[in-house]
Amino acid sequence: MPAHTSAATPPAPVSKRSLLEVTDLSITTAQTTLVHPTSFTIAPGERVGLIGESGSGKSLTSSAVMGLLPDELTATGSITLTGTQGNLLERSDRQIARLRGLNMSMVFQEPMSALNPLMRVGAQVAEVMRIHRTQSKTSAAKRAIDLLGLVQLPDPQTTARAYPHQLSGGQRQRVMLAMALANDPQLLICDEPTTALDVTVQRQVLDLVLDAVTTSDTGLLFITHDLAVVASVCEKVMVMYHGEIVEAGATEQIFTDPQHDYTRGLLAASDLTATDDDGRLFTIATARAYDAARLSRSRFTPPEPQVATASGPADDTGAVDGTGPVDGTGPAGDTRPQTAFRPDAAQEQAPLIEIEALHKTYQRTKSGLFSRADTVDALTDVSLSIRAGQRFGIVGESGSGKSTLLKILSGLEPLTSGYVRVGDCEIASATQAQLRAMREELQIVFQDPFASLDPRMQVADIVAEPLVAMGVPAAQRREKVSEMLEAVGLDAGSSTRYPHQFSGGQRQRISIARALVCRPRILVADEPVSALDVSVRAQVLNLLTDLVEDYELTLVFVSHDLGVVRHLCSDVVVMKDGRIVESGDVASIYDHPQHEYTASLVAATPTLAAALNDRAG
Amino acid sequence: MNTRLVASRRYKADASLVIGIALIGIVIGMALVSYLWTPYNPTQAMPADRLQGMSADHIFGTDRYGRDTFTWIMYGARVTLLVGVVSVAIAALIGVPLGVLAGMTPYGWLSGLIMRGNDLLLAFPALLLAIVFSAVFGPGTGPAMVALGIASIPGFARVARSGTLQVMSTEYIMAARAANRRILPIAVFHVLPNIAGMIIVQASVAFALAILAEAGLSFLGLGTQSPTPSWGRMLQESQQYLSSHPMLALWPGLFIAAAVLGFNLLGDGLRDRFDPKLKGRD
Repeated sequence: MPAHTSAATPPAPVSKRSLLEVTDLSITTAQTTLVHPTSFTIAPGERVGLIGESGSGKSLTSSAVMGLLPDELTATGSITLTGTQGNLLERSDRQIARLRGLNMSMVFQEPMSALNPLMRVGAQVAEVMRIHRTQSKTSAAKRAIDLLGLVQLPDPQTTARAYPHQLSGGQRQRVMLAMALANDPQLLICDEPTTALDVTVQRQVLDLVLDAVTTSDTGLLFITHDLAVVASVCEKVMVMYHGEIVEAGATEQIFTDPQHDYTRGLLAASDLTATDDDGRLFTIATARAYDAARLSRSRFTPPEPQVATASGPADDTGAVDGTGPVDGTGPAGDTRPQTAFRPDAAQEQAPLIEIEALHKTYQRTKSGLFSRADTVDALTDVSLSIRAGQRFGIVGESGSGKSTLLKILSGLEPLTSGYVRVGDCEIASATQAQLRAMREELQIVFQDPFASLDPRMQVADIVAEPLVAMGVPAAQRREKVSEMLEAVGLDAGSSTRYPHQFSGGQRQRISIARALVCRPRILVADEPVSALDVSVRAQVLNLLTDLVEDYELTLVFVSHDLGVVRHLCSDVVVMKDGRIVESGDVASIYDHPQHEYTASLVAATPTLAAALNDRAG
Repeated sequence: MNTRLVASRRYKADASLVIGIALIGIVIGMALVSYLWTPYNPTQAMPADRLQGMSADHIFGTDRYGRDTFTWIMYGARVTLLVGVVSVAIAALIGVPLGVLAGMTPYGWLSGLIMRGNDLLLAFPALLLAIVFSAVFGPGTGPAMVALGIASIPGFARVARSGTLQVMSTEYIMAARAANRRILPIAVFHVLPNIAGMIIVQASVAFALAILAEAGLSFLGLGTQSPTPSWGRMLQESQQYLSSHPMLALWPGLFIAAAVLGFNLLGDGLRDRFDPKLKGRD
């Protein structure tokens, strides 16, 4: 038993009268069962997290509570909500609609599509109150402005008159929150409310949600796949896996002493500071060796790096040995493989990629016949150099220009001014033929595995594309493709299938295979794991690490996720608004950020360790 | 309540597809059988049997020369389908490449040139173009087909362009460019397969319009010429017997309507099948 006596979890909040009571809820289609009989309760003011990967049934469960299940699905069991009569599942659509937005309300994941684009946001907030007749027309408009102020939108009077497209993603999500809170609901359901937002914005929105539910004693059901987020928001956690709640309990207990294998796996896979004996991230499969208590334990012992055994939680000494909490020196963390990167040898030769004073401005298309076309600065004075064999991270939030930088690097987008050299190809003055030759050395893995594979092409043809362009004969192509598919861990039978037959993680493997099939020297990865589930993320990151070593690649890794970059990269630049604000090696940037933006980014990034710390503190 | 609504909607989509295919199947079937067998010789006049009503010998009756109406309907299906196929082929073969080209170079002068030329062509009604063609090249099925084909080019070009613009903005096109694919392979292997659905819908609608236009032209004497049987000409010839023998006009009219309806329903059904907004519900 892990001896974290001092970390003894406080008793789970004693449930007062329960607000929401779900009993034996099961959701089925005509053929299969999607959610197996599930029961849970939420007390007033209680914050409950529901975590699980895509397809685990967590969103279905919340939809059932809201009465928003698709018509093809049938739900059985019982759902009761204080203040309403009887089983919600037995009510008609019309009756349930009266409760939605009044007694219970929901915040959705996609702030871009959840608002009506043709309606001013103030009117949309007021509409919620008008529908339920909780306010008169004039007072609803006034309260809408108050609510917009409550969710800390700047200048609520003006914002109320804005259309959704005039607001940023974070601002729209605040409007959604204002709508959800308009009628003081007893129950607030948040379905991945911050997944589409940048980390700094995410922090603010999470704080708002927390504030709102604590001040008005609202019950919160918070759905997410991000363990760090759930740990910072919720006091109770339920883990859902294949349509079943496999584990439920107080947040600390779940995250320090998980009982179920899947919970342990999830925890291990999302802990990017922990690695197994081979220096690889834990996956669900290898999670047995993961010491779940290390995150919480670390705060009770002085953070001196120790060489502790990483094997088995049933190691009493492990409890005494502290492991560095945030500085990445986990038990095996220092053995991060760096065979491809030999600093001495690398520093002598000229950098493989060199960028100096790069500027890129986009010309916006004219909005009117006589209006002046305005320009947008995407990149301003960007300079960096990457040595061969380096693993180089580029960190920034959306709109920071990191994707533009990649497109310029690969010659897919012209630059405005500056000097860019990849290998011995100078991008600005290169001919198309030279760019083609350069691209055989530099390949890209794209962000969205669902959009980056042509849905009408077989996997073998997708992977073979770069080879076709190089003019490799068909027989050789087949051979290389099957070799590559094997290298990324896909079986040979997958070559004749189509992308939609694969899961997100498998698709990203296909994408990686396509990038590496022509054996480039440089691999550019544009947020390759941001669309993936936690456990799959660990697998893909491990695969990338392996391949980078095996093929001696130079890796340029773009991400908004600081944890991922920290695990994978040796050096990093931080970008904001098209400028590089800070650069250096990973450890110094993360532990001693010089620029305030970097500091805020590091501070805003949710980590389990920090969240558990706060909870205890 | 809501369940039924969604279900009925999907059922409707499938129903229009099935009915459309059945109607088109009948027309195609008649055209094919006419090559092997018809009840009578279409050009053989039998004055003794003229203007007969429906009977066991002549199930649809006979016209003023004693020719069997059913035989003529069967032969007429050939011309109807021929005109549809040829004009749609002309329109698609010219319109789709132009549209894809315009879509792949959205801000270039070439795109502007193509689309403005398109607008110019769109300004001429199909029938007017066909009348001009028959005035220049003489009336006949050939000039009518070509004229109808040319007049349907803008529709195909517009649909292809908008589809191409969508496809070109996807990440897999970016990936193909990063993989060094040239512009032509990208167009052939990525763009065309992904806009094929939209093109097929457009083709079935254009087919229906071409059938209708050919019937109209033949009715005016500018389309298919005597003695080739055609539904439009049958309508025209039955005109003077409309009060005494209305059945003569009924049969060709019915079949024109059936063919046009069939292709329109097919187009509707296919549109629902290819509609990305409905796709997620299956």
